[in-house]
Amino acid sequence: MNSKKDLSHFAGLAGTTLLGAFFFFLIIGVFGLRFAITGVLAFIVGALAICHRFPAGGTEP
Amino acid sequence: MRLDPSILARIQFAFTVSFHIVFPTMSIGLASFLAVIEALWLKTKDSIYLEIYKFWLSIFAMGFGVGVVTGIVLSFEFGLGFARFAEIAGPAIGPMIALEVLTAFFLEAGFLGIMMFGLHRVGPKLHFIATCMVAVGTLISASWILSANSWMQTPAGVAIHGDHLTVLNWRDVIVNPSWPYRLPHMISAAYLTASFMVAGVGAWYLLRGIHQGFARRTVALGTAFATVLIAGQVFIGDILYGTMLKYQPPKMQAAEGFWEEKSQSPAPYYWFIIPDQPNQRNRLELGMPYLGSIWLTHSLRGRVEGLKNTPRDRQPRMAMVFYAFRIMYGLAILMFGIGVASLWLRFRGRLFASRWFLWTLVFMTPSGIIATLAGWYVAETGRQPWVIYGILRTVDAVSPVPARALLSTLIGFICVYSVFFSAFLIFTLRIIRLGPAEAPPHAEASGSLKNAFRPQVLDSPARVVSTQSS
Amino acid sequence: MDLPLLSASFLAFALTMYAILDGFDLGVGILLLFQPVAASRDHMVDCITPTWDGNETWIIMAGVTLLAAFPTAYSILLPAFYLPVILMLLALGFRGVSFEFRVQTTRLRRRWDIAFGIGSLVAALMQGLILGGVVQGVTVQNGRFAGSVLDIVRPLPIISGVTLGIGYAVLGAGWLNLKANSPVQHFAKRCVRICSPAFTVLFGIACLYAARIQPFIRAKWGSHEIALTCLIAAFAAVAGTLTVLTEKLRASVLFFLGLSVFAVGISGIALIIFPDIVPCSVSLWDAASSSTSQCFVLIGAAFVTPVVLGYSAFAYWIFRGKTPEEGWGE
Repeated sequence: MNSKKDLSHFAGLAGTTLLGAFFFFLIIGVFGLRFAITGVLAFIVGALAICHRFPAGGTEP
Repeated sequence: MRLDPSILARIQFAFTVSFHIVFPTMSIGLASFLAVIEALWLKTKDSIYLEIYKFWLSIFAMGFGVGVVTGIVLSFEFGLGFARFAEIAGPAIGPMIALEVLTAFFLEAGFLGIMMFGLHRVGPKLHFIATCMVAVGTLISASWILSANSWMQTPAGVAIHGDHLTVLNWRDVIVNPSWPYRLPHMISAAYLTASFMVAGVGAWYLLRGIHQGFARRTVALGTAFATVLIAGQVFIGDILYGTMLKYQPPKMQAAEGFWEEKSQSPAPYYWFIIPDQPNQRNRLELGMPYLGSIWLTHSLRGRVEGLKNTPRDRQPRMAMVFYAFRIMYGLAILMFGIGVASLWLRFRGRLFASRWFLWTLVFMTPSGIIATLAGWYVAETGRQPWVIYGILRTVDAVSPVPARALLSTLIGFICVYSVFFSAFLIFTLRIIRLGPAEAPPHAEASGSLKNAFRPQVLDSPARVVSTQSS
Repeated sequence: MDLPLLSASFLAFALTMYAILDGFDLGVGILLLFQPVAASRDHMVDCITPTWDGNETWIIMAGVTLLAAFPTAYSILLPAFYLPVILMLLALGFRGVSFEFRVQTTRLRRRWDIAFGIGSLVAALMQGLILGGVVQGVTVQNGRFAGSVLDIVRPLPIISGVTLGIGYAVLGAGWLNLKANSPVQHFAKRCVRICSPAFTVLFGIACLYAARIQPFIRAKWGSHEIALTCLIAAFAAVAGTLTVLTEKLRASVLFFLGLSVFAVGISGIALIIFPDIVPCSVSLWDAASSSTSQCFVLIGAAFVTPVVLGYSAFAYWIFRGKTPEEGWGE
């Protein structure tokens, strides 16, 4: 019975894609230069935070 | 059969420079990657980093070697195929490349030997400095050569009288209008190339279930770097787009596939066209509505300027520029998507378990190289028919060498470079198949300069030695 | 001392550094073709592996200095020597990649050794060919090259090519004598005994032939008799010592004598060509770029060259002493 898990999985994926697309539009300056700079900085800081917080189980098995 | 020397000269240069650029792109990225890895090894003493270092060092060495010899060809090819270009542009780009040799090539070459073979002669700390020097050398080299090429795109700081060019102001020549944006764009491209290469190989091992420790660390590092880098790269790319639109409008007009002086409103974003350059129109065009206005004019109904804004004898070939740009841009979007996906998978703790993602990484291993090549094709074909934009046309720059000679050497280059490429590919794939060797359990001889003078270090066999007792 | 003269000096310096440093690298490569024992071949390559890249870089320095300071000469000489330059570049390419590729395989290593050797040989021959071609003269019209790409296939360039190849072999043998183990040292000394006299004789023939076909050389003899006589005497003395005293000389002295022979030879050629850069057609001053370009190169060179020499010497010092038997591998 994985439908709930699948649904949340799909929702997560869709949400991430939409968020990613939004950031992409931000960064390539669709909303203007100031937003682009803010967007790229926000994305990078967010990415670094996630990489730090979730080290992807990077230790040996 | 009548052969045109100028076409042959162009094909020859295009072939040799395209082949060459693949290797420095890898070298710049891998050199810095190796410096980071060695720093991590020295800091954490975790032997997995030594394993990663040694694995990528051997691939780096091969790529560097091919890059050097194909690069030497280029420094002479200016004169061989395009003597008039060399005569005119020599006073401007010659000194820049001379400084590149002095400040970068010698630096890389001088410390490369120590980096590759000196671990047992100088110890880890000095060796790390050697690695850093090589990495710095690649960056300085990129800096100078981008300056030279950017000067060809957006010339500044010179005065021309007939065939005689005089540099008026070196600062304007070196820091020409497009250089400050093209340099970070190229460096990011090199770093992205290395990130995806590293992540792709790691992903391959994860899919096969082998070398888990090595693979997890490299996939984690590769995707993290790639994610941060692609955001910056897309941003820089957009700024560069605006810069080139200002200084070299025909290039960007050709890149988007619009012909009319002012396009329809709202403008679509074309993904596929069949251009008909003689008739100045597209036979077929497919695109996404509204996206053109949004991306290119930052408004919902803006009109895009087409290639007819440029006189016909100054137009680049739209097909080449358009598709090269789409390939580069398309790969960038894909890279961005992968970056976002990698963040999501980290958040869910499934970065190493998601097979579809790992397969994507494997397929994206050469993506940086392809995107970089495509970007350079935009840059160089988009500048045509000029070799120095607005100053010298490519057809007027060719050497007085007969077409037969050009054809025979072109064939020679293709044959020889095929051997180089096949060997590189075969040996790299073999290194990947063999996998990373186990790192030695003990650290190498301690890294002080004093120890480097000790006879034990000098005469020790070039194998692993156990930690020195002091 | 004006700017073009300074730039020409730097150009000559770069070419000399190249000839000496990559000279022994190419020489070792050529000798590889005459070494039947595989382990010795590995050892010979090990002797030049850590420092070859820096050595080869000097040719780029020379080429680019020519482009920067004497663009007219660059634009004439390169099309004139189109075929030998490209052959040289392809040969150097094979030599360069062979370093990296030969260690990746044991089965095919002999093939890569042959590629290494032939690449080194062809590169040396082409460099000599070009040198002979420069002395022979190049057809120039309106500041452009106006001859045929096959003008180079004439006696003087061909003799020069062979001479340079043998000369590099002498340098390479001297280096091996210095850095290699006993068996290879014996091999190297035998090479010096054979190649030194051959080089001297051929060099003499090349000089005489050049004087015969080029009137400006005879004219130079007339005006610089003393200098040229000294150089010839020095050349003969050094080459003679090299040939006769091969076994008795210390390895470092032997190598140094090889370098001296080259230095003397290059000085002689430079003296003869000066003040032209394309003999008989274009003088240094005609070919020079504007002073802003010359200054840029010279100031950069003045500051950076000592640093380059410094860390290059450091790299040589790190790998001092005899090359280890088992090589440099990890």
